[in-house]
Amino acid sequence: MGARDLVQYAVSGLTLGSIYAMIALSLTIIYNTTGVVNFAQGQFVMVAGLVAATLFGHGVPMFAVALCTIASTAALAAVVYVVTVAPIPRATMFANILVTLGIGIVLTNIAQQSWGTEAKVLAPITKGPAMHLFGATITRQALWIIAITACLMIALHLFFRRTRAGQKMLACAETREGASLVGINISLVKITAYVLAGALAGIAGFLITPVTSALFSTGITFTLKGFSAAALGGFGSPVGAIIGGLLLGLLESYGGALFSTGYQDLISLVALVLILMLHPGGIVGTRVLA
Amino acid sequence: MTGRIVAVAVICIGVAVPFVISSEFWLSILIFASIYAIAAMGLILLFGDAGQISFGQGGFYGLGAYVSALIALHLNWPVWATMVIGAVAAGSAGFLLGFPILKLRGLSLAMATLAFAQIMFVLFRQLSITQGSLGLSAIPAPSIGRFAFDDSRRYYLLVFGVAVVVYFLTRNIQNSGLGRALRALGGSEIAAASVGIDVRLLKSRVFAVSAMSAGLAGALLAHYVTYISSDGFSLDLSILLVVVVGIGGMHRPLGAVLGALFVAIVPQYLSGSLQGYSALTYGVLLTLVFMWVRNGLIGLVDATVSTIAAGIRAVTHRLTRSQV
Repeated sequence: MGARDLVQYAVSGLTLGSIYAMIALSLTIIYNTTGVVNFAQGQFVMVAGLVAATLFGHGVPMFAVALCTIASTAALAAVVYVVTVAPIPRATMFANILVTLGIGIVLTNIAQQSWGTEAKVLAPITKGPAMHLFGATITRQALWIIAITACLMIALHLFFRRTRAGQKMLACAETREGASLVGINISLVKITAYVLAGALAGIAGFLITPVTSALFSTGITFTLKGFSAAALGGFGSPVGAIIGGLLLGLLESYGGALFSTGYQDLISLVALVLILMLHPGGIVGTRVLA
Repeated sequence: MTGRIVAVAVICIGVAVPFVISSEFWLSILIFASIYAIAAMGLILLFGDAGQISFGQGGFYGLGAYVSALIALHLNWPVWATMVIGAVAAGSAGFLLGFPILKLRGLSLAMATLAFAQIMFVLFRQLSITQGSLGLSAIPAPSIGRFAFDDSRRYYLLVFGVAVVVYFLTRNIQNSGLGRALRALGGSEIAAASVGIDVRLLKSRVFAVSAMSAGLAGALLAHYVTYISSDGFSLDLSILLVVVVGIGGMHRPLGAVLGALFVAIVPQYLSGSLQGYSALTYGVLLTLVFMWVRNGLIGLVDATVSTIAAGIRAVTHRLTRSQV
């Protein structure tokens, strides 16, 4: 593997990894504030991709496509929270898994009904020739994905550290009862978490669709990649979600080069099983999921 | 006593069905329902009694299907034998996998088993022997002597019979010492260990039993549809089997039966009456049951039965008092 290949696989790994990191982060935000692992998170990403592709197909300018996509998944997540999660606050873990699976099934069915079974395409954010570095080809979309993800991570860090809404979320992640005792409106925090996670899924879907195209059946795969990334980094830790996502992307990219691309999907799955069994706290070492 | 009468009545109805329903389509729906019920009954022991979640059932189902189909195709062994081998292969895989994977609990276990199911799917898709999405075709039907189970009515009777056997086996396991040990495990792992139950071995055993039921169901499917490809064994299948138990109720094998009937019949019924909105309605229906019905459909049935029984008791009580 020469310098050219090393750079090439690093770029494609970081591109995919950024998307995984975003999904993992959105799962983490929901899990920390509500205690629910949202199995329908990948369907939010899928819906975002289809919405973006449709708007683009109607000649909407790219900037407006991005805003509408993000707004629509944020709204979708809020509706999902109000209709299905909020009414059953004391549900068992198994009931929560079933309900979020049910939401995933509903969203997949709606997507199939509205958009059909063919993949929809979306143009990259900016046109123009690819760039070259050490002989490796770097598409403009890859740069956009990596740059936007980096900016988002910084923005989220500031949100959690510097704003009252972010601080309230952190308090809820620490202990919901305690947060409620000091006067924090838990319901408001929870719905904020869903909106934020929906927006993140929207951004992920908008960014990845020009690379992979959008298809109704891809939701559960996104969820699974998000799980793998979150578990790899340490479930429940935002920093872990980012590290896990990027690492998973790189693993898949270099792994796909070493083995064959058909078995590429196995890498994230085997990584997930191994990390859960051998080091359940993940890389940053969070408390173990029960 | 009433339980036995109900059981005999249900079996009689089940046997009579193919002679009343002549529609090939509805018979195939009932065959699928029986197959799902067989795979889901293993999950009753695993979820309902032992309290362990698994999304891996689709992986074992696929393993049973491919092992049985491949042996029947390449070695020409009788299908009876290959089905048993398929089920045993899935059970053994479950036993071996159980030791490492069942160290995990709750959500970690759900994710790890989900990953296992997806790993199996990728293998079915990529390995040269399973022929990926091209698939295996001309899988032979089972036969006794010259009597082949090659039409829907005969095959229905076969899978219904197997489902009845698996049902009673599940009931027997629940009522045995093993079943009590499983419920102790489901109640509290530490308490179960403290009364001398070998928790790890027990978990692996129940995982093996549930994997075996899935493998058997998969084998029954392969020799019915005569063509299998990797597309049929995706994550959707594992999720479907969890949905069967979730919708039917996870504490009694009858829950698996009700759930299997629900997922096999309701979507077909809806698509007949609602066309375009059927899939959506079905999904919404599932979500509503998951949200509001505790213990699934079987819980709903139990509650209705006990309300009616209480009503009858109240009426008879009043009648006898008025006579005095």
